Amino acid sequence: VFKVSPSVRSRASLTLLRSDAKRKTVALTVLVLAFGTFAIAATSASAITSDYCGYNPGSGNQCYEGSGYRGWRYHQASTGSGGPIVASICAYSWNGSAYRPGSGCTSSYNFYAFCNPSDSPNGNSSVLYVNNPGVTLYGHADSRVPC
Amino acid sequence: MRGLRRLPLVAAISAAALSAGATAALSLAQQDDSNAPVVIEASSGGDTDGFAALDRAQNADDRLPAGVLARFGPDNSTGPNVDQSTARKVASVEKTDIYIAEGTSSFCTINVRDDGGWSGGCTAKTRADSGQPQATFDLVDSADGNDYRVWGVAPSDVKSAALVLKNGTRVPGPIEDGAFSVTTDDAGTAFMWTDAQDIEHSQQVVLPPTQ
Repeated sequence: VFKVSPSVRSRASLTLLRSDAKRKTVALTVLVLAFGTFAIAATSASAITSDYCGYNPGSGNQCYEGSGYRGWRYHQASTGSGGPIVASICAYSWNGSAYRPGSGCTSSYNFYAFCNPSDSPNGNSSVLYVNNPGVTLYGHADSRVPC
Repeated sequence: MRGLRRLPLVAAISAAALSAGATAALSLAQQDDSNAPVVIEASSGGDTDGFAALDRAQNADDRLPAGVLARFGPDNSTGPNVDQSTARKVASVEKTDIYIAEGTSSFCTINVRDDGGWSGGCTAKTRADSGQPQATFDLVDSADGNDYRVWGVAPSDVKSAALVLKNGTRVPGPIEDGAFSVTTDDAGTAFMWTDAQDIEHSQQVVLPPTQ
């Protein structure tokens, strides 16, 4: 009868544990990679989310295009679908020498947007939103969707 | 200050019979009966009061361009969910067309340029119903940078609209076909309008940051 000494049994258990841990680690890695791939795919498929600029920005808040954000030809400031009316809702986009046409402001609105077909999706400029309390800001430059 | 650009007259809205029909359809639309069959109103407009264009039949010319509808319509989950059937072109000024349209709870004014660019926004229907004009302040291209513009739509009992400049000059924007537009090369500081009782109202213009 082959007897396994407690120490051998212990080593065997330890080996088993290590092996199990490895399998779990591999499985976890696969899961993380799969989720990451899914998350990346989901982000790229939802441009309006990936182009999120900020919430409740103060005066002069900027989202730089071409550095972290793609160039934007469509701009939107919104309190959300059917959201509350705010005192002023503004979106100004500076192209380096002038404000882009349509940059503007309304009073007592909950949505403001503008789009310029001539704006380059690869432009390196900035978007400024002025005093938009309670407003979520987006920009969008998907060249598949013209103005 | 460069010359003021004024609204030319758009083709007059005619056909009182159509208006009566649209009004009747509107009354039907306002009934709240969940058991009633759904009535598709192909020609009637929205239910915001005071804007005559919403009470007439929709023409092909009234429909919002596809790119605008993509942003104001149901495809944009963070937008006002504008219904294309409520869209009406109320005026044309220079190289732009001014539209109004309604979303689920919003009243929107949209300005579409002939180069395909556009700007616009939305307020609550309840506010649009209050008899106030709906004004937007935006910037337009000019040879020396930007010009300043205030444009919008006004209910029929609004008597006047104007942009007040930094130096206090009041530049009037005649209301024609329910719309107004004033463009200057000087920055405006306020939008002023006069109601049916000749009471003046003022809204501050939020200017862009100085670069």
